[in-house]
Amino acid sequence: MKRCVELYGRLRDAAPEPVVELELNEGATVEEAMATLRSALGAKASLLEGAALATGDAVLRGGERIPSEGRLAVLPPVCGG
Amino acid sequence: MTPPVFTEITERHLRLEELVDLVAAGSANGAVASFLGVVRDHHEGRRVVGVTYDGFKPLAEKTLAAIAREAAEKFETSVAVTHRLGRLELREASVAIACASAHRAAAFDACRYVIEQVKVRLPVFKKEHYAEGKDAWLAGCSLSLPIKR
Repeated sequence: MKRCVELYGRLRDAAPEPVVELELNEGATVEEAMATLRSALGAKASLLEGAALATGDAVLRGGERIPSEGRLAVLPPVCGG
Repeated sequence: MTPPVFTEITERHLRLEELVDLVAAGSANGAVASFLGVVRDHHEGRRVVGVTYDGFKPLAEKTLAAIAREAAEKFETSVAVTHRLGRLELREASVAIACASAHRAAAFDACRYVIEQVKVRLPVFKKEHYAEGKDAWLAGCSLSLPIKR
């Protein structure tokens, strides 16, 4: 399945566009998606350190499956307030 | 019954007085406490001229609402909190919190709880702009690790 992953914070510096398209297996887990994302970002993959995948509703945890639809974002360590 | 909460992620200028008016509406409240986070002109020896906040808005809205509800239930306070996104100049407010309760301890504690949780849970990211013309994203708290509440 093709999934678009939105980039935020320092990860906006990792790619020319604020969205990266990934080709994932149906039922891919968070770990598998992060591995695919690391490959996609290449030399900028170190910016993924400490990052988490999230939907518009929740942060996804390691073994969870990537939903087949809805917004998907990769979030670096947070720094609000 | 959980006291009322109000939350917003916004790009407009924050107005603390609006939040105070929201939480202080009830006549049972004897205390209103507030907090404003504002842009300062220095960080780790560098002269800061402004800040840009980026955020994943749908999750930020849900997370902020959850934090406010937790504070309202835990401390039996009315809670109003807003966080701003976009470019902020010096002295502008990035986050505003107002809490109202019967007594001051709960109002202060609720304010503290909200800002501490915002700093470790809210999917918002901060870029500082420096006087020499450079900028940098600040390090923060990873959402991939368990959060202590």
